Amino acid sequence: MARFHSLYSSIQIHGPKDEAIPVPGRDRFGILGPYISTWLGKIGDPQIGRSYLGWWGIASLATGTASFMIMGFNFWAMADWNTVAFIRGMAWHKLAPPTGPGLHLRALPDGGWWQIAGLLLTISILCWWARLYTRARALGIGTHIPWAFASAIWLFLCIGLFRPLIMGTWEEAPPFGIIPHLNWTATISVLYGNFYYNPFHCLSIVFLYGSVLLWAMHGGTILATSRFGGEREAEDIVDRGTAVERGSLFWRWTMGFNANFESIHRWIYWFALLVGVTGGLGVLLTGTVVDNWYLWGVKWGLAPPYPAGPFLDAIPEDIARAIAERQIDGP
Amino acid sequence: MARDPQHRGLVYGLSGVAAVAAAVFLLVVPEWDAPPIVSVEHGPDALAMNTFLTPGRGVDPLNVLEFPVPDPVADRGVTAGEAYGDVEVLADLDAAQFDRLMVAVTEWVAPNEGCTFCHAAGADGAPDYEAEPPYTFAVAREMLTMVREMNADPRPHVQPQGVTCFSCHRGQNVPVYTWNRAGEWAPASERWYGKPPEWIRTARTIRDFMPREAFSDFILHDRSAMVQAQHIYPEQQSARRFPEGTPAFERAEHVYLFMMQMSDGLGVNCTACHNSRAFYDWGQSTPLRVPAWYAIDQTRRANLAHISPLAAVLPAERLGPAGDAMKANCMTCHVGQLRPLNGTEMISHFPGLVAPSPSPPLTDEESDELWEFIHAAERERAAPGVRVPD
Repeated sequence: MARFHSLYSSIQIHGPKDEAIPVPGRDRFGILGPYISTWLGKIGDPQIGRSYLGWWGIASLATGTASFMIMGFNFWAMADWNTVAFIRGMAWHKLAPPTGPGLHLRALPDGGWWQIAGLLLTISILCWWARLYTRARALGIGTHIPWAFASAIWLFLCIGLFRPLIMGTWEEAPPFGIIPHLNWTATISVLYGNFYYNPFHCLSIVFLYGSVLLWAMHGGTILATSRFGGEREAEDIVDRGTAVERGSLFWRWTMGFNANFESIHRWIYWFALLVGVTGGLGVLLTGTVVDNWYLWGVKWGLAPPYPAGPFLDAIPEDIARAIAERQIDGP
Repeated sequence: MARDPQHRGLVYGLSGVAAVAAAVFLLVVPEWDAPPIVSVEHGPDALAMNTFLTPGRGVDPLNVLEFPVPDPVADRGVTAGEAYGDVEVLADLDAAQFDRLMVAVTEWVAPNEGCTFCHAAGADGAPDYEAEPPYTFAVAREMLTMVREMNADPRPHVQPQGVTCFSCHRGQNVPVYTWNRAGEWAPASERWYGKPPEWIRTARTIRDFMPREAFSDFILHDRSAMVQAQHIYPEQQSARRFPEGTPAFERAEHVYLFMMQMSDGLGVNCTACHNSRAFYDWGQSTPLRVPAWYAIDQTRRANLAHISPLAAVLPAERLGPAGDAMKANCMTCHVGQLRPLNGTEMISHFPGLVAPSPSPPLTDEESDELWEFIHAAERERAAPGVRVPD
């Protein structure tokens, strides 16, 4: 029995290189390879390349590189051109968005670099999407993969573009930088009264963890039935064999219901897609429709009142007065 | 036929390498707390209001020191002012009690240097109280004023334990845990790159690495920490910007950094004072939030009115790069304990360290004057090329 195309492949085909099929379009040119990697062959196909670049790919790499360089040189300059400090502080460097109201372009050191880097990064990502889309069409396959990527792009744009546009300030957008952008996620939750009670945040997490669960179930089923040819899912979708029967029976035995070899992929696809879609909605509603998700949760019964505990009965009068003096919202 | 057609050896080998790498990472990279981590719950069931304690971390040597208390003495019947003339802060204290306090202060702050740490030394090495004293004399006077003021504050924070020099100094000339401000970056007009974050890149520990702006906001400046939205809907609040102009996200991060400093300094979690689902809500906070609020206020006053002005008299090696004195935060006195020095009674032994009446809060004019003085001193004392922050 041929066993290549599975994790347990013991056979690597090191024969003539597989040439890509001819596709319509005049901008077909490739880079990188093809060559054979025995080590990568242990976890996948041993043939590397030939990759397709194309005009969308060139545009994406060019704008992405420019964006990356803007961030990198800003970080390096912030480290006073000290290379050791630059590398050691890699996780901490921060390129912050412009502050204050207004969406206009700013001077470069005042957030202009962030605006340009963000614009180039957005163009780069959209070009990469177009690359996925045109290649999928060229191969005559469905466009499911670019649309799944579009879900991630939707969340990215909601966070960094749409929400700042609605709020009227770039200040609400995350900075570039490894730890600074993580800090931003913690901070937006605190500023807007705890994202834990944002229902779209809840949904996004459900789909995220759900994807993980479904992937484990599906991957487990396929590996478990691979001794009966279960990894040849495509064939099994149209011509169900003993692997399908056993995999299906396993889930009917253990939970009463089974997805079929086709629908399990729709389950996973939509769970994964909805992570970004619902997350983006939760972001868009924050600060625009709802300002404090905890209080929203109280209003709609999501946040239960706590039992009597060691809580304050009353704020001391002088503290209450000081707080009132500092109360900055209101007319 | 290969003897291991499914590459089991490879899979096991790679797994082994990964396990060893993970073990090395766990051991070498960050500092870990060995189990057990003890969780002490102090709220209603299942609300996760608990404090995590790490007995494996060991005890800070500063927390096992004995509090030095000289034997009580009988009054002499004359005040220190009458007996010694030039006594500014403790003039009304009985001369015998004054002498005893001076012995104690020496033990607390300069046990190795003795009296001549703050008083001029004569030709024979003995203190010469008439001669011009070193700078430490002026510092000690200011610090005594600060301690007396803090002990006289009726708001709950340091009572009944009270504070003395030993609370922070613990037998050292300078307390072990202090903070300095970082110099300000060049204004946007003088650089081509974006505004750098305020990390302190010369720091050797992660504690020193965190921005000091976070401390300046709340225990030097009097800035609002109320960053959270107070209403459900945006139309209920007209402005969410801060009057001092710091962007909301930066301010919120400062609050976070400051609060972590507080947790670290007191050896507690957020839930010691707050309910983490609604940090801002006093109605869901524990009674401990009240003394903590007063403590921030008192620390700010200490840093602004008593410690920062010393930039004018301290020698260069006692100043930070921005020309500022080493300031106090929660860790300075608490050293990781909710009650410093395990709650040792202090002030009952030294009634002279309580001012006769509480000081009124600083007026805006007084604060402005202090800031003017501090800025002038710091600008003069800052290292070359370092900009003094506001």
